[in-house]
Amino acid sequence: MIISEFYDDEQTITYGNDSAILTKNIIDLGVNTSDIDKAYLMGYVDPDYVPQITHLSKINVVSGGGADYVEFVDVTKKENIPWMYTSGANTNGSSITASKRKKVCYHLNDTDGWVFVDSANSFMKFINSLKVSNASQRIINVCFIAYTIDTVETTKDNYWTGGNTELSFTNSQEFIDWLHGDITKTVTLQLSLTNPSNYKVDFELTGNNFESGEYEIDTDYDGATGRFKTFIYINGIYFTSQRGIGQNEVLGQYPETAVTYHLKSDDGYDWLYRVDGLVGARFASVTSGDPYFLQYTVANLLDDSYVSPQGFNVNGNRYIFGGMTGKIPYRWLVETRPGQVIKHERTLFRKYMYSPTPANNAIRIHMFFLKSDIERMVQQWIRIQLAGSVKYGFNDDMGAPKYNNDNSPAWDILVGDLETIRSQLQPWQIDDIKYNPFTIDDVPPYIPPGPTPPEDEESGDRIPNNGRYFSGAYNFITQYAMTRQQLGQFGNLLWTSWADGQGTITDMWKNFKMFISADPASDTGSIDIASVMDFILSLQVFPFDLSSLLHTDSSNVCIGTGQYPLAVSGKKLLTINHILDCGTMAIPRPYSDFRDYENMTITAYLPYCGSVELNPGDVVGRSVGIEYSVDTLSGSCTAVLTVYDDEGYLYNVGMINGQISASIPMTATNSGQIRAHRISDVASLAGLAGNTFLGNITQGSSISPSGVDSNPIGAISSLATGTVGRSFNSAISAQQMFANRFSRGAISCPTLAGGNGIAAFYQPACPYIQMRYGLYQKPANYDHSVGGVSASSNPLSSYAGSGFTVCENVDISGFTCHEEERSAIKALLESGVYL
Amino acid sequence: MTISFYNVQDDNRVVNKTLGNAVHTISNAQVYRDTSIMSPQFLVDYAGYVVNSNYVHVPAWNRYYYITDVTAMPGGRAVMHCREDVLMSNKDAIMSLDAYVLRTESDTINRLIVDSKVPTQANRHCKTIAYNPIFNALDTNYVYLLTVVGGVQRS
Repeated sequence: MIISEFYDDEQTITYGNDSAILTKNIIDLGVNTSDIDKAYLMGYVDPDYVPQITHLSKINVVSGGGADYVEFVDVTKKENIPWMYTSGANTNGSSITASKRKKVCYHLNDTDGWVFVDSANSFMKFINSLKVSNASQRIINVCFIAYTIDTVETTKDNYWTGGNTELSFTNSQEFIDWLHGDITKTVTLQLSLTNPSNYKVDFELTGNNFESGEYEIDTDYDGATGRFKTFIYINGIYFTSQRGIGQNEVLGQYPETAVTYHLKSDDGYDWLYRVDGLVGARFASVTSGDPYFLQYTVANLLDDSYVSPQGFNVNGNRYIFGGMTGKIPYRWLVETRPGQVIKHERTLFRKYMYSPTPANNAIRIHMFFLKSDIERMVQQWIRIQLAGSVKYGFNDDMGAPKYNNDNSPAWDILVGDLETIRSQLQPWQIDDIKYNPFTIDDVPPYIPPGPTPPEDEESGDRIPNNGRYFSGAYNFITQYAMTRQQLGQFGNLLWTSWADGQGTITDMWKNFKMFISADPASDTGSIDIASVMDFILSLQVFPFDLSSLLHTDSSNVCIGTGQYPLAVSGKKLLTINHILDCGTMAIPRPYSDFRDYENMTITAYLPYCGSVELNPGDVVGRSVGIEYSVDTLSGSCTAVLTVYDDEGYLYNVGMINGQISASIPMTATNSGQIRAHRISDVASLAGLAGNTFLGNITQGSSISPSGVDSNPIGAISSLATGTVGRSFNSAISAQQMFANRFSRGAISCPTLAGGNGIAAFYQPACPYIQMRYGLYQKPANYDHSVGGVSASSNPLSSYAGSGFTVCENVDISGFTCHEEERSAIKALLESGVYL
Repeated sequence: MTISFYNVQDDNRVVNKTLGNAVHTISNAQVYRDTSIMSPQFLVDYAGYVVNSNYVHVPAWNRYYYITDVTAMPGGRAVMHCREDVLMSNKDAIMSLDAYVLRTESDTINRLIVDSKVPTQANRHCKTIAYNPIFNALDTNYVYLLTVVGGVQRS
């Protein structure tokens, strides 16, 4: 097993007369192979530094050009962790002191025992020694014990200027694939504009011609400029890359300034890759040392900071890691933690390379992907078709798009147009409804999360979800999403004197009078402290970032008449309902036969809602999307599971209601209510109907506004289970609320469905689907000995040579043999013969 | 009676057996006593081909037979006990049958039809497919939602 191990207990290793104390952390790269039988141990000691590597995802080896080091990439770190510096400058240009370079690196092999590894080149030799050319050689253990020698802020401005021996892996599986010498298999997909051919290639069923390893798609763009797309259809999942090539670029001159790599998957990820600032780069003469778009910084993703892509030069060709982004919304990432780099788990194309074509009159774009990536993202695949489409446009000398005489954009499709591709690809492999690969916009269309009404509204077969948003309630109330810090500021505003710094309780209402009253200077009136709190209807906490919702707007908090905004900011919600997109995952077919459905149970676990049993016939072999429809007024939610049917229509396969928020008490009364009461089911609430009860809801419960208006106390007493709170009705004015003096506890105390308030937040961070299916023992000769179910009717001559055959209720009319012979024939045919 | 001797290695259930070349052919075989067409006994000269063969063809009856036993008799004779191979004897008629095939080894197998003969283990496999972890916000994120009355800011 190749693993990268960092142990968290101290251990002394000895080599001859030397000894070193290593502090190690265990890291599991998540790859298990059983073909390793040599142990290697490597380490570097810096007693001044405690290693913090926890999520090793990549190993960079840089050697040459004044730099020589191995670098570990920890996805939880802002900077990469250099290791084994032996010479040259640090990445920021400063020199590394000799003392810092002192290190101890060893690896253990069968013949030499402990071997000293003192440079990146030595490390490469060591790595190469792990490479095996046949399966009989095995490596059992590879350990990297790495320590930083200097915690410098890493920028990569000069990172790529000298390296010419560079080897990077995104994960350990890549490392293993490289060790085992997987070779790149070039897919012959030529998209030459002047001679279009071979624009489609098929990979058939598992085991036929889709081998493990890395694939390369070469696309030649010659003879025109514009925007080109190359895409891959995989069982309806659509991956594409789009880039633009400016005027005269193919002639070796300057490209346009922006390159967009449009990567799309069926779980809603839009473009993921954009690079700006390429003025001066020349594709036709790419050489080592060219300055390029390789400013690499790792940003705190929570800040929506820019993260630029990363690349390097190899032999005059420029490799770029795909999947890095210009700027993406935080919520679009697969998995993020503070300080984590972007993990392009959803990227299909791992690398791009530009090079001149052999004729040097065009640009060849190489796109690389791994079979393992497709398997990882698709999980089950039957047929993969690679299709190329070239849609190009004409630009003038200034790079602006040209137009036809009728003012239509001068676009054309030269090869592999969508219709042609559609006619040749299997219908179920094209998700036409969801994706249109052809756009003429510079920026791919933004597809908001949530249900999208289908284009053709006339078809009665489509059953779209209601994707409308409602905001009418915000004429009377306002909702602000806030962080803990912002909430603290709001709390300080509540409880801190605003005017005279005395901090007395009587000053509190003065603070708010200014903001809720038309007469801020007045010191009289019926407003008292308790009524101030009547303006605060609820405080809820949600388990997801509300700022990621579609319809928000940064704003200062305003309450009451809103005459004066408070010095507290938040994200104002613009609609009361929101859609959370949890993504789409493919449900694999473990057996690709009836066993995928028989004896199969599929359960979707939806946090804050519960579980839903899914019909295997609806979801197996398909992709299931999960969305949460959230009501921010009540905190209730509905989880919806959807799939596309065989004809490409979206339909729901499961729905369940739940409660996704918990209320936080803001007054003593509130607190008592939370302790004393629980929300019960709506059925137990007598006489309740009408508007949604703010912050005090279970599944579908509501309270009649009229009942509360007329007899608020009575309305409380009529609640069988003691749910209390104020109902919201647009007919109730704020003044009436004051007059009613309904409750000091305007804030209600709901609980999460079936849970105990915030304690019920202890749920999975994501929905998940579990498949439970039987395990079968089907030997290789099963069909020959037992046969598979056919249920077909044909002349037996058509089965000649096929082997074991069992007939049922054979009609042997026409046989002229004797009765006993006929009976014997019938019995044999019905028990099984070999044709 | 002419009888041709063969060595057949096919399973008895094979309809169209591979005969190969006849090991031997005799023309002086006789029916031994009263005998059944389906289970005949033939009186033949005792010879190696009789003992070492397992299959015969009787053209006069247009039938094929398994040699089930050989009884050696004094005087260099032997009785060959046979059982008809009804499949081989009627192979043309069988292959022309238009039958409902329940199970087969051919590519007409419909893998989606439930096959109750596939042995199933008692334990089950559990596979988990996780979605995007969106419910992982910290309170440094925008997780609090304050609902206030009014708040419509006047311009």
